[in-house]
Amino acid sequence: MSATAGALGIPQLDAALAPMPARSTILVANDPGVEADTFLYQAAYRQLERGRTVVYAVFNRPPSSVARAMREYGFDTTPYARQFLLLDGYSALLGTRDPGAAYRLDNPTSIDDFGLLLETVSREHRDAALIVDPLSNLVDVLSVPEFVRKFPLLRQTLNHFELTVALFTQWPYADDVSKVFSDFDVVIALRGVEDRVLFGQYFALQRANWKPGLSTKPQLYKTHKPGGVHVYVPKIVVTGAYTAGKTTFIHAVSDTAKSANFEGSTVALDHGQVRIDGLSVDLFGTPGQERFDPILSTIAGQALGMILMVDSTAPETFDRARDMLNKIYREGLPAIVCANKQDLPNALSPSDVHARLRPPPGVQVVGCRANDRASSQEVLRRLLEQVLKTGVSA
Amino acid sequence: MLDGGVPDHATALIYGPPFVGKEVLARQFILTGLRKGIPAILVLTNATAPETHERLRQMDPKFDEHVRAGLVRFVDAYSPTIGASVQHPGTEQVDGLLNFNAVTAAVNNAQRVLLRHHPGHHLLFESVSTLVAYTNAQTAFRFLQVLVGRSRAAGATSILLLERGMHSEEEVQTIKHLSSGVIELKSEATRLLLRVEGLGVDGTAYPWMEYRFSEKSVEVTGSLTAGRIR
Repeated sequence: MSATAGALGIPQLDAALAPMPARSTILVANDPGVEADTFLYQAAYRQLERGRTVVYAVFNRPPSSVARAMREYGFDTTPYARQFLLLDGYSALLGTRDPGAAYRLDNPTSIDDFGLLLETVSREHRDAALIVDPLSNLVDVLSVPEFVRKFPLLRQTLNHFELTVALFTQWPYADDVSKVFSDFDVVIALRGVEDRVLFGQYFALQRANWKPGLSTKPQLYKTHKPGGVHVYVPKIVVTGAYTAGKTTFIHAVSDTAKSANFEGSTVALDHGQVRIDGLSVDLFGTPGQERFDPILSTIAGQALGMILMVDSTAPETFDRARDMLNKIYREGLPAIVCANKQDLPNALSPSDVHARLRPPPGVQVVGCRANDRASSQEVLRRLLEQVLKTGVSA
Repeated sequence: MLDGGVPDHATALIYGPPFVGKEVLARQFILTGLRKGIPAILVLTNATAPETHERLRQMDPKFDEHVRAGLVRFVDAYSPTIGASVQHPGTEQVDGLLNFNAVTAAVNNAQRVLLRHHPGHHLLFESVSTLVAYTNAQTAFRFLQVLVGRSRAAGATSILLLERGMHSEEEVQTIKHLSSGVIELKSEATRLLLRVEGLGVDGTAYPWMEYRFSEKSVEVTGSLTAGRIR
């Protein structure tokens, strides 16, 4: 089986990179402080799942902590103990030994020794995948000029592996060091969103050699324990008239939904977090009653998409639904109308709802039963497809 | 200094040989801030969070209250090097001393929490020498340049500890470039001497002053004791 199909285990990146040639080399270049290890864990686990041997070279922490961290993210390597080989480029620096490592680099300050060890490993495990975590530590123990001078030889050794994924943390090195980036087939940048502190992070595919001109829009992401990397959609607003089913919808798709309600009616907002198809989504539900209209724009501000819930059995509420849509919708905003309560006998069909509601051009009307998880998830998926086309940008 | 007198957002390097009270001085600065409601982040590379907590409690019995109030955050990069796993209040454990990215992320996490209620905080990095010992001055400099720079933007006043005698003069100079000023400690015959360079409003270098220290505090006994050093 090809190691490179769906190599990273992150659907949005794998789709952009497909079809990935064999023996590809991927550089994950992160800003300091931006979570990056999870990308490597996810790629390693994907390869293990596919039956491939993974050699995981680690330079900045005890190798056994890699397996432990992977377990926390839901990537338990225990069933793959024979395939998952840790290469210890750390312990010798501290004069210790990690019993969990299959290979030990006795001199982690020598890029030549690392290259020689990789030669040996690649002969013993043909077509293995290689993870290097992080490559930048080799710059730290050498010097920028020495690393730049010696890296091309190491780069040739990487070709012996079916797939290589290396992490490079971009500390303020001399500019020369970025020369090595061009030696990789793929460069994925991980950046922080900063306002006094890092409060968000995003990835962007900067280059793939076999796809000239390819670069993707930045995608915000979150990491979950368990769950790993998920593209993060920070705000989808769910609005609609009173009793249209907004709260029911959010609780159907989210296991962590919370509502601020009084006697069964939402009086402030609903909030739910959802993980679906590699995405992590925050849903915000508005109240439906007109007296709460002054806070609609606040709740809906900065939304990346909207779902307008309508009660398909109550066409008399459509004017109110259109009014709410008009208060929130702006041209280009991914939006969908959810024709709810399709399980009731007097429900209008989605096409009838469309005819009476007359939503803006391009806004689809889809039928659903908000009290049914699968039905509600389908609506959310349809909207998220649109959101991803627009880009979840920082 | 002893009255929390390091200028806001400055980075002070405390530099001196072993057993002259560097850690006590740094912790006194942290405790003085806590008493004023200024929170603290302690990045530990040579002691565990529980050990450091105990030392601070010995210096000030009210330290527990500050921890309970959420004013203290530990970033423990030492425990994994001795095979220990730490579950301690306000502590994020980092799985390796050389995992600089994880240390940076952990400090950022702590700052994100503190910034919700506090415009500023104190940051203690204890110690830079351990970092340099396991890597080199250039690597430590690059890492700390990012950490200290970001922390300043997040409202931190930072203290870095550096051991005299562990590093070459070139390494010391490299690390000094990170700081706005240096508090240098030394022992001479039977006397302990301290001087401050560059932390005042005008960057004045003060002359050597005599001081004494115990497990609980550092006290300047020479000149300039009437007020703050700056």
